[in-house]
Amino acid sequence: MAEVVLEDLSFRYPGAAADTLAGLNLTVMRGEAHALLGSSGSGKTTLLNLLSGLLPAQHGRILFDGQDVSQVAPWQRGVTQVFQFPVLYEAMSVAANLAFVMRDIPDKQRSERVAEIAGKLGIDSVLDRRPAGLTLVQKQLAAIAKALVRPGVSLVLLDEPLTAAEPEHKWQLRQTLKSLQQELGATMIYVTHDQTEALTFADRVSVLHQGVILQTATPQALVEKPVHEHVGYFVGTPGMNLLEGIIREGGCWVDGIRLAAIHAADGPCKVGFRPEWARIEQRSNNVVDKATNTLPVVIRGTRTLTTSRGQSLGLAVARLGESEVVTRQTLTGLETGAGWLSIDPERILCFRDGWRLTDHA
Amino acid sequence: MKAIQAAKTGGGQWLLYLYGIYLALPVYWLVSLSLRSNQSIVGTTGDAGLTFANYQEIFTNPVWYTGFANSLSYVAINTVISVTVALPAAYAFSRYRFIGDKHLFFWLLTNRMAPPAVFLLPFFQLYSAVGLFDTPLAVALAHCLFTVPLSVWILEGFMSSVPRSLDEMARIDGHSLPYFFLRIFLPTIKSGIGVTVFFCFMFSWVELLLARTLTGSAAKPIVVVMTRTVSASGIDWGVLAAAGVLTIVPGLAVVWFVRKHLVKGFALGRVS
Repeated sequence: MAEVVLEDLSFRYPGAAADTLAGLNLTVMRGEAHALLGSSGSGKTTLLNLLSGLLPAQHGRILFDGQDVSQVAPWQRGVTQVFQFPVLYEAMSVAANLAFVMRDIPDKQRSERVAEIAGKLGIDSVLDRRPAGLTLVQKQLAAIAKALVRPGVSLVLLDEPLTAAEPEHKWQLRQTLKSLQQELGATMIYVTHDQTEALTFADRVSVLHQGVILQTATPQALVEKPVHEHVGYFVGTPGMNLLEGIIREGGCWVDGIRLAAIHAADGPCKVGFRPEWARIEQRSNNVVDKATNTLPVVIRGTRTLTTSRGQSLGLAVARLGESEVVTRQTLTGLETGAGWLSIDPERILCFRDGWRLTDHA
Repeated sequence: MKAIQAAKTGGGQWLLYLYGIYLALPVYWLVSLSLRSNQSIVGTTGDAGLTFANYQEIFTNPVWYTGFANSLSYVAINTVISVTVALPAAYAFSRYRFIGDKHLFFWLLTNRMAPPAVFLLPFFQLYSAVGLFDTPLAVALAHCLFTVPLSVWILEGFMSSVPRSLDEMARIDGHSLPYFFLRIFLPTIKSGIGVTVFFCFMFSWVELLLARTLTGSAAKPIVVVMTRTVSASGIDWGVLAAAGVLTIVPGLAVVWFVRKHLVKGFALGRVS
């Protein structure tokens, strides 16, 4: 297993007008479970192909344990990959498929290794069968085994490996993958557009957007301190609320109400807060009291997610001028109509030109 | 489901039997003719006994059995050339984008839009000029004009249904393209190859016009021998029928050998 470093990595397809990937810098530590999170078209497949060596690097370097592998063939890099849909060689049994990638290793060691990995993934019973007779989950487990079986693998790439699995199998597959990753200490890069998969699988997540890595951080930091509006919006269900605001007199203001203190240059900004950081309360219709941190809104509806001890918890949706605000809170007693929105001033984030203003007071 | 059940047990069943009889009747007639003597067939004597003399004639008379040998050899050459040439071509059409690929792919089919007769004269002159006239190779090459495009079309469909990640996986696993193609890719599309072989064989085996024009006496194919069985004593019905029966056999054999792939292949084709 290796430490993987990207240095100023860029890529442009021949004939394209813009870079698909622009100046990526990233360090994935040895034995780290890393996730690349991005919507389709963000360049994640291109980055994956650069890492595996299917595409040659044009600009910048890829280092495995300090060795420049930018121009090295995939097999020499020691990279293996698990694809969206299980890829196995149909003409061979599962065991032969696994042994096939270890052709440079003596027979005895090879069969031991196959048995060991198959045992860990729970596919020992199907080793002698052809892939055609297996279920989708078994096939994908076999494909994962194929990626992990070769000793001296430096990096395992996972390209949305759970896409093909049924929802009820996804969780189990992800747990298997995660525990195996920890047990083997494998360096894994997991590419996905599904934030739940990324946040639950990875030690650290890189958010890729339009060919640029916006942020690399732990799942918790991505939720609490997104450095870019897009990260805030993309991570979290539902995503971060963003309101048009303004910074003046050392604070950020929305609709003439001061929400939080911030030390930043005066000017327009976007005020962001997660649904968990705010709550909406009912207000009697005509009273508009300009209290600090509190915005008058119109409650549009609620959606119950769970109920416990007579309290229903869920999402409340409200309108604030042109914008829509979603909060996650107790819904008991909340009805459509006028309401107050209060936001935790400690957690409010301000963005300008997309990026977070960091100098919080 | 109920409708199908009803059809199985009701009138539909009889319709199916009728259709089966309709299909089998000529074959039955042919087989029965081939087992009778000429006198019996034209009805001059009342003798209706079974005889294998007609088959004996075919297996002992060199005109007949070389006819079979000629036909089989050009059909085999044609099938081998078509599949060998079409496999890499279909792979290129399926996996690579290049300038004019779609036009070229369609253009392949336009060859099939012309009846074989169009190509008679140019082929005849060409093969006479290069000394290929009256050889099985001449017929095989002429048939390739039709079977290669057909094979490319069939194989391209099968190859495109194999996900590209198989190719990528093989590259990551460190296999060269030739190794991947022969050891991994071909086994994956073997149903498609079965279907292709079937179509090449069938086209070449039943084609008469080119086969007759491009051969003289040395490479005369069986279908041509059959059209020339008129002797001084009239048409030799019994031998002709026996030759007909024997001509059906190789077709049956091919269908038998590729039947599993055929069913799978046609099913795949229907899905995609």
